[in-house]
Amino acid sequence: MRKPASLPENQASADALFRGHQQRVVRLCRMMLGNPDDADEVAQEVFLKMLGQRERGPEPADWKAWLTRVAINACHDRHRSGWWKWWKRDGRELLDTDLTSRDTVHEAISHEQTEALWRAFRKLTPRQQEVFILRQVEGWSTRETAIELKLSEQAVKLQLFRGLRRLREALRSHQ
Amino acid sequence: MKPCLEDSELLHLLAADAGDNADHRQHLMECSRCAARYEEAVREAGMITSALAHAADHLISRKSAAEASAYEPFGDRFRLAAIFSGAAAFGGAAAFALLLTLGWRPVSASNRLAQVASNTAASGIASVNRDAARGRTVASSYAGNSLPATGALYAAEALTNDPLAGLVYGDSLSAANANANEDLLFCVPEEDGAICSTSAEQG
Repeated sequence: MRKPASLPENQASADALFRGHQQRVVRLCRMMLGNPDDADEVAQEVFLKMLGQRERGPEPADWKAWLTRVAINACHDRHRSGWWKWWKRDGRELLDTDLTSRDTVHEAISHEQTEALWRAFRKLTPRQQEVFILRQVEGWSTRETAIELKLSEQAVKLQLFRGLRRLREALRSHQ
Repeated sequence: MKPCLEDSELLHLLAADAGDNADHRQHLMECSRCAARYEEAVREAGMITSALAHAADHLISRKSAAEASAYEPFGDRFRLAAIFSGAAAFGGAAAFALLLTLGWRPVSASNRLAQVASNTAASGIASVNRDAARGRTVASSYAGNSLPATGALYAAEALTNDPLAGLVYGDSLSAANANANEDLLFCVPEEDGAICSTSAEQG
């Protein structure tokens, strides 16, 4: 049984984990699912699992990688369980009207280009999307990505190449 | 020196690990033009990644979008309705095709009348008795059966032969009377049976 005194410390630590990873996990889920409502639900599930893992133990050495892994699996589950809902929502929700916080990159990319990129990304195969997210957004190595997605390293490189090629075409077609 | 790298080769380099494609990387060291192109590809990839992450952060839910556009909520409903009505139509067509395959043919009143007429000719039943009393006799013989409502018209020949098979209703009446100079009986239900008179008597 846990000591009552340890609860606030754990709670604070959980809060810190949540604050530190929430935006990243939500973004990852949004990129994988394409729908913000589903993504937010899945992200909540991920953090509930994180709390459960903290309760049960043992704590993973790298929470960032653990959360990413759990988020990817949760998105896969969502894909499988809600095919009807998934089909119904085809990721057309991109309405990026709030671009007040533009940084230098977004001064270089127009709103139309961003939309075109997003639509092109949604048209990638799920594998290409996953590889792109892990390699480019999360910064995983080819080997880590291959292990997580149960692919060969060569397949990871090929999927990333294909994904990048299509995204680059989308970007250039709107220049 | 090797020829300059193609775009796809540059992208392969981008997707590969640092230790892969040693000869291509060697070329990049030697060719400033390809090195610049590779830098441009790296910059583009970074820009794409950043733009996609930014877009994901700024996705607006369908609910919010619906608030902005009154038309939006109808999109899904229309789509659902289209799917279900399409499925229903397909099912109906399939069922109809199955029925036709099994030999079923639609039976219309005119077909039925034609069938009755041919039966009548074959059996040689006597032609219509123009006598009104005869009409009453015929009608009274069916008094126990349920005759249709007031004002229903019958082909007289059909009634004398097979009254149930010869019933003619509504718009089919003209078709029924088109090919023959048949008399029609006009029947009015009474307490003790129906009283019928011929169309000639009706004027």
